[in-house]
Amino acid sequence: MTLLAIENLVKSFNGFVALNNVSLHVSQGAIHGVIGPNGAGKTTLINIISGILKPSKGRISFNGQPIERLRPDKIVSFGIGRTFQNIRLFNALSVIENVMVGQHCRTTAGLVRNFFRRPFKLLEEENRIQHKAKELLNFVGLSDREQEPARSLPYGSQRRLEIARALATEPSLILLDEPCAGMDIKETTEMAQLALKIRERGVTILLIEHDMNLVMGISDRITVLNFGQNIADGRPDEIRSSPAVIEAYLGF
Amino acid sequence: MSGYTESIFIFMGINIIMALSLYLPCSAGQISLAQAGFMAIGAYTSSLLTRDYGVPFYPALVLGGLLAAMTGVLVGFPAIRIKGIYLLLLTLAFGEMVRVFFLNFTPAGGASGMGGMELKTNLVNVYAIVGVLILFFSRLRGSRMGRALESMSDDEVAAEATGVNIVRAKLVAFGVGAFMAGLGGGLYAHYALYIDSSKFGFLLAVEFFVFVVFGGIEVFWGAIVGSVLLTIIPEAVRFLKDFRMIFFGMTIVILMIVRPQGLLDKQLVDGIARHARRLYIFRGVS
Repeated sequence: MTLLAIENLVKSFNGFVALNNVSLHVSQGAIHGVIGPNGAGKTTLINIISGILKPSKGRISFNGQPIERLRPDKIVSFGIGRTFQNIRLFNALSVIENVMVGQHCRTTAGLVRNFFRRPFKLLEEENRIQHKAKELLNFVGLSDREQEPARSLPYGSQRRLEIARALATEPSLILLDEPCAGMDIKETTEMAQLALKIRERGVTILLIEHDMNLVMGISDRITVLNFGQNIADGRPDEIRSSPAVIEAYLGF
Repeated sequence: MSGYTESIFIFMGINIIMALSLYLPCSAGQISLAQAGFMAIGAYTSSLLTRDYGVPFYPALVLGGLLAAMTGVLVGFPAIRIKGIYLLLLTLAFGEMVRVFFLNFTPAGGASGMGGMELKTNLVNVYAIVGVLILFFSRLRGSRMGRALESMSDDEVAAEATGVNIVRAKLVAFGVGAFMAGLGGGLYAHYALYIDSSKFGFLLAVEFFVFVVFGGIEVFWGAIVGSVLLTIIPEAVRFLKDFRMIFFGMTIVILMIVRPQGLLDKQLVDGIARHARRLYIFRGVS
């Protein structure tokens, strides 16, 4: 079953065409890789799906509903979470608070309800948020660092915290934008395992990567972009032997 | 308490309310120079209601706050996609519009100002409101909305991509902040008993801004400490006569050099809170 369907997506910035007629179907429960050389339009694609950029043309539907004109927070509440290529944590907040922000769209307490709560007692909802955040920190292996400021975490842990924050929005699809950028082989392997664990939770993954080997290893299906165009689409073994892909990557 | 001391404490309380009204949008990353304008709306609205329409003081005070809040939300709309110095300019221009409006608003005296209000503001009602605001802000910290505001001031795009409705949160922060400023204005009018539009100019807005930055923009206690100190210091150094404003200015310059984040920051306040808790537990055991 198709969870996310992108049809004929076009995005141009003042005449520069970053995405040209890209179509892509992500099926429920899959790990779908998107690869391509630098400047192929991968991050632009994620920014459009998550609503940070609006497409020039084309349609995106999620669970059968059109989402291409919605605000980012609305898209999150529909069930699409994301991470950023250049990590964007809330540095002033603690590790656990970063994850707790992710629960914002699943909870409702406003200023008034919070003001009139009973003394020395948290709202019932707040307990639930904390519980969820702890569970997710445990899931990504950051339980021991809950109270530290997010900026004090090492690079690899910051990536995992970002994933925990995205999972806290309770997505059915998570967009990972180069989760292994700047990581060594050991960290890359751990990230691949985490991706598989995320899928086990029932979350579909759209994985953007620069590094071919990682994507080949864990993806069920791969889309290859080059200069904003969709040049190949298929299973990893099909992609590996596709002449168009070899040309894009190696130049012959 | 002498009338002089009382008036200092009352103005201190009003300054605290005004500084907190600015702190709220600031905590969401929205710096506003419109607070004096919202204060004017609260001051004039409540004064007209009590003087000309016989409305009792407290309902008039709240109505003044509500009108300021509605205006705040209206200003908040164009401010949604604007940041930094552009937002400063926008809010500055709005504040001046309000001032000029009241300068020409004849039912409230226009250029000759407005008087004839009854003395209704006293230490009790000023500090009761300060107390409610302190409760509000201490409960906001670490709550769902409090975290959302903090996350926005940290990284708006990431907050949006994490499901925070930043449009709504900004409007709420602007509106509620303006409500507080409107209350401050109503209290001011019913103590000064004479208001005129020139009092609510851009310099006053800057003054509130200085309170917040001086005390520390990271925590709401900063706005409070900043208002308290900067209300007292000019009074305490009256013996310096003509040099006292120079002394006042120097205090600010020196502080900004040694402690650019302001007197209080998150770390300091958390440290104090930890200490206080330990003391409390210790006492409980013994």
